Amino acid sequence: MDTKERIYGFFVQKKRADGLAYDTELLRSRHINSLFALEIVRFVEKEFSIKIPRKEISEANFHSIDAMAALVERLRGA
Amino acid sequence: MAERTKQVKCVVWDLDNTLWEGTLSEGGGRSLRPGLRESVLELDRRGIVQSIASKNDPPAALRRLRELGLEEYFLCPQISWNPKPLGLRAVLDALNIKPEAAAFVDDQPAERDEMRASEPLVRVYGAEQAASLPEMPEFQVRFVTEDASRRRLMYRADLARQGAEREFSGSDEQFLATLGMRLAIAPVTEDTLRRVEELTVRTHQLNSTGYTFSYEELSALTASPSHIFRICSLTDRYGDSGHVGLLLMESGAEALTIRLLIVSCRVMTRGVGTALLAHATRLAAELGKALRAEFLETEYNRIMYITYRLAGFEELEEDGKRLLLEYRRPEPLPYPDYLAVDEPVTV
Repeated sequence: MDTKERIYGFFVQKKRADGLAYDTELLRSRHINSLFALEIVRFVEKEFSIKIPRKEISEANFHSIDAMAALVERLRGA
Repeated sequence: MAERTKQVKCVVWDLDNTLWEGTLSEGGGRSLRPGLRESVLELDRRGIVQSIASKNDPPAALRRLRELGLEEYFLCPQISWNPKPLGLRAVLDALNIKPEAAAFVDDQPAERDEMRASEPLVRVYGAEQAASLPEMPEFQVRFVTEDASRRRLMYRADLARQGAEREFSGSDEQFLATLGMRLAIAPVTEDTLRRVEELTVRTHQLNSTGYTFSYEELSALTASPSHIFRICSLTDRYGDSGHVGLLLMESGAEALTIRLLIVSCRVMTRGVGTALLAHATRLAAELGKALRAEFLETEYNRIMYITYRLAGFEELEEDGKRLLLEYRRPEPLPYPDYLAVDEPVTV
């Protein structure tokens, strides 16, 4: 499974994948609220064994599954 | 702003030769050890919750606790033949309490050593210290608030709610919508100041700056014309969760600045922080000012940083661990759908 699929899987597991695509805007939609934002940060760190530095916790990096996957790949490559 | 000994919020007791005299399976456990009923009741009154980690036969041990009139004081007792660190961990997970806020009391040195080895942050006491726990500095509370003396009942309601949540098959938000939650936001007054002080001392994970204030400083802030100080309380169909959040803002010429945002860890997954932030964005919009938030990084409060950042706050200034954030969305944050909010009419 690639990075996007693994992140998408978490949304499915949390029953938040209705009508969700990799490029769906998440932060101002029904797919993410502030509670889930915390869960998704924790999930991404655990699933991909990375620690997301403070500066990278931003809307730009979490506004879609595409953006999160790009962040993960960048941090894993670093 | 004072540095204090970190308060114990939860005490986990052994039973045989610790809480009661003798060993239950050998005919003991007929009476409590001297002073322990008083200790248990006093800790309870102060809002320090208690549980059990004991190697015993569960029905027999629970029956004896009931006969001794103490069963109701212990939340999710862990009575089994499993290692005690597992039991303690189960209690802390169920109550959402961190190990550094927990204490363990046991007469057996081997049990205490096992606990220290697997939970080095938990404070460990021998049976001979048990009756004097209420005198130790880490078990002191400055005031016994109404919230404190009801805390055990609030935790019980939390446990019932968690049970219902495990049974529920929809998303987290759909579950929250079934709770009928009401959040009342009100100005801090003299009546609620003691609870305000308690929240600042007890809350570490969901605390934006970690500032603690003396009672006198807090009292001055309620009267300060340049500050807006709010406390909120939460109820739902499982009961009253009491006062669960604080918001202190300083009103400057061009910006409203959040100096303190605190949410009780007991309600951390119920949208209270988001609602308080939404309230702040609405006030700022009403006043025609920018909304900023001071954030002071501590060992525990990363979760608060994430909340701010993904709610639309950007970093404006950085000075070591102290950050100034600014809300950048054009419109105020909406209140969560699953929460009915009562807010003060005007600033």
